[in-house]
Amino acid sequence: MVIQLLVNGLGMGCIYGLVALGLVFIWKGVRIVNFAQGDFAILAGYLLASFYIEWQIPYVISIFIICIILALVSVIFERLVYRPLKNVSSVTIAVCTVGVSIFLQNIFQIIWGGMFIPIPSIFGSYLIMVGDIVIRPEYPLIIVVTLFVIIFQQYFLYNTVQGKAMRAVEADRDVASLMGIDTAKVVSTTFAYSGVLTALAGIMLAPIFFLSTASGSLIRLKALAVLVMAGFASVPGAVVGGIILGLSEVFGASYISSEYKEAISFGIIIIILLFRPSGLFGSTVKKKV
Amino acid sequence: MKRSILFTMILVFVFGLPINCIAGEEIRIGVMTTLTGEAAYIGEYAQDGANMAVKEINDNGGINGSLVKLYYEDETTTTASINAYRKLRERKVHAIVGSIYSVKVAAVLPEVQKFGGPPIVVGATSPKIWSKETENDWVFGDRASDELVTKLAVKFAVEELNADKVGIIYINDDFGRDGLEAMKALFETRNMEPAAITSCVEGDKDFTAQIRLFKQVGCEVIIPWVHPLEGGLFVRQLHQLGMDVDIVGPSHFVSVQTMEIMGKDADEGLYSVTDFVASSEEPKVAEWVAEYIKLYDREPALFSVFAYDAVNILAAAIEKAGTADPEDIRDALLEIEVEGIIGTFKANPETLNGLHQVRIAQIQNGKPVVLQTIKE
Repeated sequence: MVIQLLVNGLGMGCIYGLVALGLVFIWKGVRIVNFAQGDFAILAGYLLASFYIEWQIPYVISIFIICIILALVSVIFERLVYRPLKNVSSVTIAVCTVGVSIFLQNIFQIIWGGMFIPIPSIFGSYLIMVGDIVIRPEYPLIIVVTLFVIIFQQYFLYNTVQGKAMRAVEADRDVASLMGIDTAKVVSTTFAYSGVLTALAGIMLAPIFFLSTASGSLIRLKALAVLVMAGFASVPGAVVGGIILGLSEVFGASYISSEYKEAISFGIIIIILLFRPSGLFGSTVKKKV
Repeated sequence: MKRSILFTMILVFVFGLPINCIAGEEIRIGVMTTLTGEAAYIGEYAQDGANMAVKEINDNGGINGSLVKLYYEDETTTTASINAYRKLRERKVHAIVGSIYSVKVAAVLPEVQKFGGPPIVVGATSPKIWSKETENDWVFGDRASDELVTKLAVKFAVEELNADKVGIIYINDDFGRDGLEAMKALFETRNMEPAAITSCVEGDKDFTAQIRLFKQVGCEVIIPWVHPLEGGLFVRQLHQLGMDVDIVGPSHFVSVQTMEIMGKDADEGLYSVTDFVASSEEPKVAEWVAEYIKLYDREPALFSVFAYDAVNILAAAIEKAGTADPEDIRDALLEIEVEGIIGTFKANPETLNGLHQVRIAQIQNGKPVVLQTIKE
């Protein structure tokens, strides 16, 4: 059963990590927290319900289309919410993203209704049996997709011109602009990439979470906790943090108390922050006064 | 002689005709339900049922010549349910169809007592709400209390299914905790105790830990005292993890939405102590279900039939009262007996709960089948 819990915890942790990765990229690019990120993931799930289930578009093509749509939605979000307010305080922008979250939840209800939408697994009723251990194939798939994303974006950020531009804008936007980098375009690309990450997370979690209009709130809470634990701007931190949260939830519920599962997992985050206030992978910035 | 005739005519006029102080005006019935949020599907079903009832009433000329109009308020959270009640009071509704959530009814109850009405018919089932010690003059119930439901669930698990090891998973809110306490007390009366007790919280998606416990202990029957989404996911994962065990669930376990979440095959053989079975062969139920499907092109759930019956109960009370005065309606609710789709409503004068009937159903070949109907 320990291996069972390990696989489930890793799987859930990777989902939280994928959504948190989307948050990390937005933070790295523009230093804001997007409180609507969880709802973007749910949007991907709802789109999967429409494309793959209702309209019977093949799964892989559906994923491709959904990633493009989420990338576009994220860019529109950047143009309509972030860009007009970028010179205002980040708190104001964060509050606006809360408004976007509420807006999206209501749009989901108008378009898809208030009923839960079960998304069938692409694996049907197939389960991976290893002795007594029963593993849902979604969980290993999530782990594989997360590994692929990490490998891809490490390559992208360090070996491509666009990736280096994103890192330059994150380091110092003004200097990047002086170097001839179109910072506005880079920021839009960052949002678009964040949208794709979130789309993948939403597609992976849809068969597990069962879509409802308010599911985004739960995911947002977990992803934000991971973001804080990871140190806000750390890509490996988001994944590691997600896995820590996922494992602590599953093992805490199993060996301590299912009733206090959330308290246990968030308690662990608090302990980590007590010892590492800047997060697991965050760095302390010293300012001269 | 002329004076006595005049006096008699006045007496006949005053007492012989129904006094309808709202003649020509609408009868306002408020509906508190979850219109948004994770439980928005409950609100959708409730609207179906309530609108269907009002359409029938108005097509038949309304109540005492006055047409009925519904006013909906959202009660996504407990705080929102108190606000919803206050808003309906401001609208001066004559009566309310209240929540199906025990935790929300418990939150609103003190407000209703404090402000004195209007009368509310609710679908809450927590024994604490329907206890004789609870101060309640205005809130009536149209579903069997969990006191009866848990008694039958435990009895069925131990006597009919011959289980020695019964596991309980409860949701950590008023509904779940009150149900757990009631079941623990019932086991005590049988000199038994549950083999395993575990819990979950609203929004939980993974039940591996809880299933692990039941597997370790070797439970033969599990009683999940949880909400629809959590219950559906729990049964689904129980099936996926290959645990062959009997399940005796609460009323919504044979509801179309919960069964959809459980998945085909996962729910086969599952038992439920329930108010309503959409596939029941009882003529009144079957006729109503057919009419509902014709109107809404989908199968009804417990939430729709509760709202339908609640509107009709209030309509019957208003008709009997002859006025739309909340106190008169409340008094009429204490007197009337109404044959609803769920069962017969007759308010207990001490607790104000009016429904004392449940059905035990089992899912056979993907469809719930009523095994027994029990009236207290």
